[in-house]
Amino acid sequence: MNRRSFLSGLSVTLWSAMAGNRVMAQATKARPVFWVQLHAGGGWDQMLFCDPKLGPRVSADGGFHSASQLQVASGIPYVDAYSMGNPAIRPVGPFFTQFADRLTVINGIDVGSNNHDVGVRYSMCGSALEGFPIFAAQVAGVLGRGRVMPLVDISGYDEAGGLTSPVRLDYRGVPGIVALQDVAKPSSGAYLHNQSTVTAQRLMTTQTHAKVRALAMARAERLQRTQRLPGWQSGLTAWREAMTVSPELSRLPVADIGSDQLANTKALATMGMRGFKEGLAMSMTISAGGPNLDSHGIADVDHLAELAQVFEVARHVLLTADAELVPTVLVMTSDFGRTPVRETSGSGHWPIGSMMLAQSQAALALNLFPAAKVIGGTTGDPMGPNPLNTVLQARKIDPATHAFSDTGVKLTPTHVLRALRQVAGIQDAPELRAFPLAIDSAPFTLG
Amino acid sequence: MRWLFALSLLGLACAGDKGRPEGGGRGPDGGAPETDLPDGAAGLPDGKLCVGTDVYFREVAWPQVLSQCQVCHTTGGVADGTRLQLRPLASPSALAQNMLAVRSAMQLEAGGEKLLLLKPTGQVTHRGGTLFAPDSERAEVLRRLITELEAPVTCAPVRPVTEGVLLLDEVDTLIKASFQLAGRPPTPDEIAQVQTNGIAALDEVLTLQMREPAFFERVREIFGDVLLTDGFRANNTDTNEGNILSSVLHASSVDRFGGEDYDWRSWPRGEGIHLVEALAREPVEFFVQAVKNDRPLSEVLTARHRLLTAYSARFYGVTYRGVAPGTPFENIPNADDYEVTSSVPGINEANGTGEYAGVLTTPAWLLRYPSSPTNFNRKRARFTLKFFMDFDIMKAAPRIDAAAVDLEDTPTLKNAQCIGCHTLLDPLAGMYLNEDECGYEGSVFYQPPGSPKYAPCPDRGWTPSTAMFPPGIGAGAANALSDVDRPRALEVLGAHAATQRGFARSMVVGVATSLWGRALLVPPTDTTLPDYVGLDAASAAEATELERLTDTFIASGLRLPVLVLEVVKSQVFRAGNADMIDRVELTGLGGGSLVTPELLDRKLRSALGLVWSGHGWASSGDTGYQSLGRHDGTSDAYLLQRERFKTLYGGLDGSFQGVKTRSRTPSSLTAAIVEHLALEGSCIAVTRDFDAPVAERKLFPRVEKTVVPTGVAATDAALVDTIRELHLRLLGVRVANESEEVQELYSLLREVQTEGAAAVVAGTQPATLERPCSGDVDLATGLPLTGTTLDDLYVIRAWQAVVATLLMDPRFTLEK
Repeated sequence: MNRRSFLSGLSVTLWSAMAGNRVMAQATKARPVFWVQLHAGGGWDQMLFCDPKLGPRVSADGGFHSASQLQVASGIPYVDAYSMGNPAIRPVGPFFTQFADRLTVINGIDVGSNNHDVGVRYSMCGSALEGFPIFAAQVAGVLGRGRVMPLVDISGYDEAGGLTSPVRLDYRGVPGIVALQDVAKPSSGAYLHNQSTVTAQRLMTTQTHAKVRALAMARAERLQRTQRLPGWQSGLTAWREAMTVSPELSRLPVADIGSDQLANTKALATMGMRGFKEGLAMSMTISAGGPNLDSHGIADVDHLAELAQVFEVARHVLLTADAELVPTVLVMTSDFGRTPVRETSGSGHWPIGSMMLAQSQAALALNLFPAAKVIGGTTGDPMGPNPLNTVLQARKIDPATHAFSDTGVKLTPTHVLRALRQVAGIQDAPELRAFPLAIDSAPFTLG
Repeated sequence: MRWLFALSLLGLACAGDKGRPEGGGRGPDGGAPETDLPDGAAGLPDGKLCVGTDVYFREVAWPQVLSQCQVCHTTGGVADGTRLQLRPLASPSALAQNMLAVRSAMQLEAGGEKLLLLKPTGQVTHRGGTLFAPDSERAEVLRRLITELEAPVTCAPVRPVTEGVLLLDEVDTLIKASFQLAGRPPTPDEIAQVQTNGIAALDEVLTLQMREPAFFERVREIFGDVLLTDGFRANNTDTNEGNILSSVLHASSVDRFGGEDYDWRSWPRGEGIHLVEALAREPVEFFVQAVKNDRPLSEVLTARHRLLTAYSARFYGVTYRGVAPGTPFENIPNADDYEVTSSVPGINEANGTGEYAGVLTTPAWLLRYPSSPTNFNRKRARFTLKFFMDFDIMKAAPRIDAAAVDLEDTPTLKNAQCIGCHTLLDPLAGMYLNEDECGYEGSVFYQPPGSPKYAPCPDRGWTPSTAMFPPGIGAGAANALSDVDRPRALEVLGAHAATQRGFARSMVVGVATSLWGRALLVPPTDTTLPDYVGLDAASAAEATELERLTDTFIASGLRLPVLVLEVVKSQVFRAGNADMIDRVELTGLGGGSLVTPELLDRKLRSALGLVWSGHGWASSGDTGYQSLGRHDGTSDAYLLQRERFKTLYGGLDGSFQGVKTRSRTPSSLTAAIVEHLALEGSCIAVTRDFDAPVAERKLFPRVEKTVVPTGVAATDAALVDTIRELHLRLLGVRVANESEEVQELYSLLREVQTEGAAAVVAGTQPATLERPCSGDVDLATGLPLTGTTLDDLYVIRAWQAVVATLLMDPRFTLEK
């Protein structure tokens, strides 16, 4: 949680009220889906993959320079984007070829903002309000109570609104988790002056440790009975829950960490996935892509290199989920889209963007929502030409049939994440009462 | 319809200017029976009632009118797809959504009248027919709802936020503040001083504490959390790529120690690590210098100098305390201390001019918030506004309608949707014109107008005014930067910003939120949210408090210690408990937040005498790829290392791709770290404390390891006293010997000792201690010690259990 916000305080009250003086030690019965939010930080250029618009930025340096790059896979149009200067960086085609049959592309989403902070919040939470929990936290807060890692955070935006405590897997520290899997085992010693500084197998006998633990928990419970301030109530509830479930960390498969950042992100994603499989995790948020994704003054080829990282993480998540037979829904977002106009090189911020949902094979089998589908769209012709003044505007759709309709609605992140709540089965959860996703139209469904 | 309710159970009343419009028509004033009122209505102090719009909607308008509309105007209904879509109230968010839907439908009019009223009353065509007459009671309900939704009524707590809050007394306040500021429990003398002279004595005691080195480190952390420049620190830096050392290099102005590569961790004797630390912490050091020298905090923006250590001075090729660059560091005492350096040619000066504006002209600041050829320093401007002028321009940004933006006509200069922000943002961005090349520069150094910049800056060193609002301290021509001031633009900006109330307020926010242990509350905006009224009251109280603190801070001449004292003595900091539970309006008061890893580390050192770290930390490691922290002896603790537990615990590193906000709520990883710490820390500390001379002991000055509990507390006064004192020392809690807390730990002591001693006799437990619990080795050096190894009575291990229990007490890791 980047801060304990006001809304956090609100939900904390809710949390305390629900938990009462009980600590929920066993996992809540949950729908068997692992929800993963993958956010491409900086604002991705949807015209270079899922919302093709030839014309505005055609040049030899551009990623989309020829109508021949337009492809269709499982009914989903996409751009096989690459720069003439470096055709080796070609991330889109392979990803769509491999996963289009399980993709749901949603184009023409109006974020209503071109600033990063608002865009990240809105796209990941469904609300632009500060303190509003990201979708993964909403899932974790409702379905992940009692799990040791309700929300796994891999360098992502992890505002939880007080619904849960994100477990931050900073790859630099992750190897240290091994030392926490048996807290009674001494830390590694050193061999100094011809002797080892550690000889004990345990720091305390099992019997004494159990007594200490039980007494510490009892004292915390007693303290919570006498402390009435909201901050103390929420802090103690979180402390007791965390202390109750922390021994479960012993079952967590800890990732091997190296020096390659992409490899580390993937390793941590696998760790989160296996955590879900072990009943330890419920949802995950991942940030992918580097600074060149925000491609002011950055050539398309560099933007594509960042997208390659995003798609590679997505690919890894899906393949791991398939291998582990974990029903997984991957929610892919970015802050917003990018302008159709070319700056010196690259592009600026554009409030109209796209989201993509991808399902593992096991998730597809659950018939959660249709795949191999494009919902919504923007003005302009994929084949071009596309005048700058009119291209890439969000088109309205009928929220139920998804047909384009001038009397329909312009999709926003609220529509999409509200629909995802429905899919996750958390739309009526009392935990989310403080975080309504209100829309001014008939409900949008994924089909 | 059920309108009866228990008035006394609801603590709400109308809120001043947000209150019900005159002639509300309900309750005692409005004609409705006093006993026939909606659930959720509230009592006013004068016995009258306040009914919020949400309550009126739910309890009156919905059942009387709108529920009938919803029969058709809903998904799958006859009127599905029309502009009024309502949901059944079954789902929790339906109320909010329906209120929004009605609000939206209220915008539809015919002849100046609301269609929402005209249709059901049959005054215009309505496929559902006429539902009620225009002069009916139900029409009146609908009219009133429309009025209410146009000016929503909210209700405020009957009880002020200041009422029913139990404050920490002067001693408990001192205890809490001492851990926060000095990282230690108060001394007996300090407690006595406060006990004798009351809360007023806090000023003197805490002012002295604020001269201790631990407080200076606290100051660095407070402002490091704001600026995030600590993200460049050695311990937080990820790789050599993009770190401050490689980024700050340029031309031949710097001395890379004889041409070593960027792999600063391999520079001999940790010199690269010292240098990275020196550069990274320069911005926060400006705050420390202001405190040390009793200067106004505004100097962080107005100081006409840089702050360099011997390492960064040599890097820039300037003298340090009169010592020429190249002098071996071992010949320079306290080479890590910062010194005022008024001239750094090549970096801050060129062609006879230069600019020095405190934090703003440090590489750490400029590189932490970099620019680009199209960003034109706007990021720097944004964070200057946010961190130093208390204005978050992102919150002022309107919703953008993409269809109204002409991308080919310089929208940031001309489009109405864009210039709302850019008229202010872009002039401030221009004030950074000397620190890069029209926005772009891989490294940062002073390049005034006339410099041979790589990128063309055709308009006196900056981009032309036909493309961007010109440099200035604010919007408009009156605030524009003069040509003569262009070479010192950041000095002008710093001097201006430091005189604004926003500067004082931004400093207040940084200090207050750090000491409160939480972020600012976000005022609720949705009146239909549960607990809206309480949250709104809490937010309002916080805003009032921040203004009070700002006034005091300004009146003090912007002295940080005065501000800290005001925060410490405030209700927010001192709130210890409340008279009843579920008072949402008290959100934000008192403790309960997770202490930072840095504070926890200081607590361990002071309260237990323990540095929880890898063994052998004092060894130098002067060659090859060197471990971080081995060269200052302070950053090796597990809780301070990103490579160990810092971020897992909930701390931040602040780096570009790292963790930028602290978690103040414990996770399972936090809990496991604390438990591991409790077991290991108690094992190491208990034996060594018994081995120390009595006068130097922190834990057991009253007892020896040979004293066996008898099982009768009354006869074991020294043991019971010790347990009581451990509560104070470790938890900052004052308890009586007879309290349940003391007695249960005495029982634990007795039980563990008895069972353990029996196990020793039976041979199922060893009589000796093993390392690291035994006292026969110095864990830092590996040198043999003559400390305790025998525990045949099992007393040491029993005390270990007691101390471990206290370290696992939530009051050790949650703010008091």
